[in-house]
Amino acid sequence: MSLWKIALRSIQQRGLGSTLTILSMALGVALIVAVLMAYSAVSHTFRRGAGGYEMIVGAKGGAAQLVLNTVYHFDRPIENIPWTFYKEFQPGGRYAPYVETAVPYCLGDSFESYRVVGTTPAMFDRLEYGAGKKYQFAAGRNFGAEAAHAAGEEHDHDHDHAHEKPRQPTMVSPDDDEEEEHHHDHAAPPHFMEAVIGSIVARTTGLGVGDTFEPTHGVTEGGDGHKHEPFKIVGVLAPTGTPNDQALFVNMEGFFLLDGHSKSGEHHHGPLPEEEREVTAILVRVNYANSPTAAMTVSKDINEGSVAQAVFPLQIISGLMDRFIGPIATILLVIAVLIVVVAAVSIVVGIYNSMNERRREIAIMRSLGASRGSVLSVVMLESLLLALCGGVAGFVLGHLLIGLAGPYILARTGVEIGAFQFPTMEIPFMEGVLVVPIELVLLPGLVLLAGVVGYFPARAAYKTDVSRALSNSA
Amino acid sequence: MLLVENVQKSFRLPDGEPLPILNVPRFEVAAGEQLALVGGSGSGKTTLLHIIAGISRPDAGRVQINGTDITQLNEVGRDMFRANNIGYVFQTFNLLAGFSALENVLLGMSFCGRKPDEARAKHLLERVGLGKRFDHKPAMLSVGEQQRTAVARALVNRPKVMLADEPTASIDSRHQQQVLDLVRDTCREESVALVVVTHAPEVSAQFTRVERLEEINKVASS
Ligand SMILES: Nc1ncnc2c1ncn2[C@@H]1O[C@H](COP(=O)(O)OP(=O)(O)OP(=O)(O)O)[C@@H](O)[C@H]1O
Ligand SMILES: [Mg+2]
Repeated sequence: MSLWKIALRSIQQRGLGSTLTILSMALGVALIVAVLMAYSAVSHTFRRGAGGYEMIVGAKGGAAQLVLNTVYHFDRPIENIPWTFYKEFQPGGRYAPYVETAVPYCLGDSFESYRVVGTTPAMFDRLEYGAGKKYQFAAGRNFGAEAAHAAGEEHDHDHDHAHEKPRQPTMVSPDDDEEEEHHHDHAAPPHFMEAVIGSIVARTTGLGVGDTFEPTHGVTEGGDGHKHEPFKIVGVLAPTGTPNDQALFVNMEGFFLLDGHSKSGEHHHGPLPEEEREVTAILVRVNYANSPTAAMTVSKDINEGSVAQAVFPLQIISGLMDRFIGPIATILLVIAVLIVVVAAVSIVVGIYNSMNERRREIAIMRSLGASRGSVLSVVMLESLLLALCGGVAGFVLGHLLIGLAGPYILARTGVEIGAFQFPTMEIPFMEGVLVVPIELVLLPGLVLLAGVVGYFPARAAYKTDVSRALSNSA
Repeated sequence: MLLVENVQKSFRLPDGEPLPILNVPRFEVAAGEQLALVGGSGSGKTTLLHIIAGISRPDAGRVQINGTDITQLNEVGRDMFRANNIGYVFQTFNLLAGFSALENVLLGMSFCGRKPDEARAKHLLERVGLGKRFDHKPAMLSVGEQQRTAVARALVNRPKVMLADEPTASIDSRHQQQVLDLVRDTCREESVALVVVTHAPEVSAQFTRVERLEEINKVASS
């Protein structure tokens, strides 16, 4: 019989004690795995929040604030930038050659505790919420196209069909006469007041396609803001796992018509004249096909100007992650590691507690010719097996735990996390060089730990006085 | 074949004073010979067996088994020598509780440096009448059956010497004879020298050679 098998039998023989030890080890490891999985899912989600575009353009100020505000709908909106600046990203504008898609983002209103975002249908048609992930509608459809003058090219072809489309009855040509006529003589076209809502908003508020809501001006909860004319919900987004699940998107044209959204404060009924318009941010997908250095060129030009700043959200988000979420995960990990250490100590305690009956077994093995080294190895292997069993069980348990909690976590936080996620970690001092699955770190760590703690009872086994052990219990 | 010469052993009392236990000028056992070793409690029988087995070292003297003076070996050497040349059976608790009867016998072949021979282990278990009990744990075996398993294990490596320290003392008189016969018969079959320590006159009476420890031990008793 191999020493492995002898160690295994010894573990089996002390079934209950072994099971409890393995369990506590498993809990510690499960916690480590769960924390790492959660951290990796959170950071993944965090980064994915801005996954569909490379650059955010907004008013000058804090870069982090712009990102937090635009991507996570967090904190008060910053200043706006003029419409003319947005036009620079549209066909004919100075940044147009470098830009694949530029989506305006107008903030300032809220509904219940959720942000209301004024934007264009391009938000869902042209942007993705992650690499290769297109927005899907769980119900309904995207809201109607913006007024023709708001953005050029994609609406020109709509013009021919304008009269056949009931939801775009006021589609107008870009010339100013007709526009004047609109906002003086007619009510806002119906599609101006269309909205699309995120999945979490839909679930928590109970709103759905066909319902209406009235945004409150100002993002703070409470009563000081006043209500506007209602928006009609035409679509509910499928869950994306991004903060956009927790926002309501309205047609920018309708948004502009709300009180307090024209620079002058005047009331309008047709599309808001350009000189009255502002946007909070522009989400930009850069046209790398046209120019590999497009992002740098555009951001440099914008940042050197006095009107706006251009930031790369992923860069900012990574910085924030490292600064705030990283340390929290580290604290949790330290706690989890301590649990594992406690479990390892319980392995030692378990072996020590059984030392009296072991002394006899060790003496028998020695009488059969086992060397001191062999009995030392058996005890070491025993602690190793306990640690590894606990480790593997903990690994499975951790994944199971996350798998079970996954839907709940997704529903509550928008963080998407599944049982079959295998987080990786960077090897300390080799950051950016070596990224390995955590099991590759965890298992050798456990082996090392088991070796260190198993050494103490193993040494007691090594030192057993065979002659006395045989005499005492015979 | 087994020769103990001028072996001395003393233990240290708690106050540091040496307590002489053994002083054996000469004790010899021929190959395949069987003898009973008797003597009063505390006379040093077990101590002598431990020295012969290389489990403890004498303070002085030689223990020669099959031409090897084991007192000249280091501890690892003695362990290996014991694994290959000596079978040991205790009065009780010979077996490891977590291992089946067969595994306990196989354990006897785990430290000798050779490949375990499962067929031989099974053969010996069958020989001691436990052919149907391979998978039974010691707790499921009677004391007599446990002793028979221990006998099979002691023989599994084809030792030169079998040391049995009161092997039948814990068994009722009916099964006592059965186990004793088994030990003697199997040792005879395997040509193994046998030293049986016993307090029981009905056991020692069956041996043609009976040694009183007090006679071979010349220690100045206090
Ligand atoms: N490790 C030890 N330390 C101190 N004294 C010991 C030790 N081992 C044995 N002795 C003493 O040596 C003497 C001989 O012990 P041993 O066990 O050899 O006697 P024994 O003849 O086998 O007795 P029994 O018939 O009761 O088994 C006893 O007085 C015992 O107390
Ligand atoms: Mg004794």
